[in-house]
Amino acid sequence: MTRHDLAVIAKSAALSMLLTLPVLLPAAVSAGPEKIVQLGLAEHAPTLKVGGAELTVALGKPHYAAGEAIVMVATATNPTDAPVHIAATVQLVRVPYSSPMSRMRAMPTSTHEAPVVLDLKPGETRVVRLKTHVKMGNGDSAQILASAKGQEHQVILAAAGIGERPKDPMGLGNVELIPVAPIAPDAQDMPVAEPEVPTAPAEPTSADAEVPTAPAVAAVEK
Amino acid sequence: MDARHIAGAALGLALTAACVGLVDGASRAPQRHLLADDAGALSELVIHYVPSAAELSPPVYRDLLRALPDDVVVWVVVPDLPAFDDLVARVGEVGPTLAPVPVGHAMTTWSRDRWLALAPEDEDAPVTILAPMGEDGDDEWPARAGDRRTGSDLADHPLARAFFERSPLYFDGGDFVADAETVFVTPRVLRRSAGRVVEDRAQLLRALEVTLGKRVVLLDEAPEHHAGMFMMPVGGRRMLVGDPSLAAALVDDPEALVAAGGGADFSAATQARFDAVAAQVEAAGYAVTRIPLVPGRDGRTWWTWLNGLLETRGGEGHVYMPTFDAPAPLRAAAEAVWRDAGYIVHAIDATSAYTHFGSLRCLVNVLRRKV
Repeated sequence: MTRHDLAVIAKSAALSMLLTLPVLLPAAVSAGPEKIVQLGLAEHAPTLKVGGAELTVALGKPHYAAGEAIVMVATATNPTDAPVHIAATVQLVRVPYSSPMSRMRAMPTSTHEAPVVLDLKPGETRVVRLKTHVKMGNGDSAQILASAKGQEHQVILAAAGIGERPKDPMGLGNVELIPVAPIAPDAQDMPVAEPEVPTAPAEPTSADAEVPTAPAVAAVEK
Repeated sequence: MDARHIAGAALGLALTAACVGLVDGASRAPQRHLLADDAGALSELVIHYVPSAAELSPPVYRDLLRALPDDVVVWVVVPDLPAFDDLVARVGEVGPTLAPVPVGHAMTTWSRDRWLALAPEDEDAPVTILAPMGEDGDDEWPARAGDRRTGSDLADHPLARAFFERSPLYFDGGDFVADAETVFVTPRVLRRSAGRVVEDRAQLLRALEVTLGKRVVLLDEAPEHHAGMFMMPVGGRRMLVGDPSLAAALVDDPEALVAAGGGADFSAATQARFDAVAAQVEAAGYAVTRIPLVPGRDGRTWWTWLNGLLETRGGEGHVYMPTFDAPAPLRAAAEAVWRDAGYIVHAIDATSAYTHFGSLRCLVNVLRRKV
């Protein structure tokens, strides 16, 4: 290979770089480090996704007084064009009041566990009320956790303060504490969820209906 | 066109690809990373103080500030300047420089959980203070709602050299421990963010890795507490993990330990959670050493000698290790583990803090280290 051959190769290389580099380099430079927003993360109301359907669970009313039995309301929506079977477990967790001096909240205790099993038609929404006998004290916090059957992690679907926040900022002096026993080891086998409205002809209902006009076919696993 | 032109064009394309790859790679490389717990010298710390916590945090701060080298700067986040003066009077004469950050709103005395410090590649560049989307309990806990703002309060200080960013994720700073390459994260972060910000575990892992600039190990099972309470990296792919059974074997009446937490919890279920952490850390390629630890039955009040601050200074490892009103054999055994790991132990009495569910590392956040 002569010096002239090398010059031709170098010239061709330079020419091809001249044509391609201005097009490709700016895109690489502007890419920069990935930002978390590019991952599409956005806050939305907590939901549990089960087989294409969405399950939300909230407390039965905006505010519970200390000592009042708590009801949970589960809303399941199937936005897909196909029937969906939902099998999930809902837990009512009590986070006892702790001193505001604490680093973190007191240890959560699972007080009630209810399986929710539903068959949803395409586009159907169902609302199911889950009664419990759980009563909490002033300053406690109620959390609702849910997990889909076979899914390894739980999702916190709702949290709310119970009663009145104790006035004594340093202690528990004027707090009505209600001991709550943790659920029994075999509780998951018990029929703890009670659909408030029994089975009826299946009709889609609106998600915000407090009392479902349709079928809470929410079959409770036994 | 002959073979020379074709060879030249191919060479040019290859060079273009190399240039683009280099630039792209450089710009995509993490430009910041979660500050490691076990590397570098402590340079700037952040503590919170409120006068209502006068019996809780100042005794711990006093021990720590007297043990720290003089070149450390400590940012003191306080509701107002009288609170700063109160703390200064309580800790007495100390070596480090104390710089007040008055914020003008309610807050707690716990700084660790408020934010994570993301260190820049250039250690003289501004640090990123990354705060979670929300504080656990801030809807019904006014001081905790105020805590949500202290990260940006600090970044607003003209001398702090820090940017503030709010993550869409839900976490406490204590949910993370990190070494130079890996961040270990408690399962609680997934529970709080899943179904609300991320779809699933995989998306959370991806988000954390992009954000924190390191490999992320999300613990499958762990004690229901902050990570720094039960594990701590000690450099060289080594990790200390708490072990209640080691503590139980050291005393005559183990169940009576940690009376403030309703007695000690040496149940098989609790032990299994610590063992699960050790197993997962080992599976991640780390050598694990177990250290005595006593969890209380209330699930929150612990004697943990892991919840300290580490630094490497002058080629030597130092640990500022919390101590408690615990039987001497327990502390001695924990100190021995730290010494065997190559650390000089500085004991910091955290007796006044542990009954409030935290300890030394929970009270002190690290803004900057010198590596």
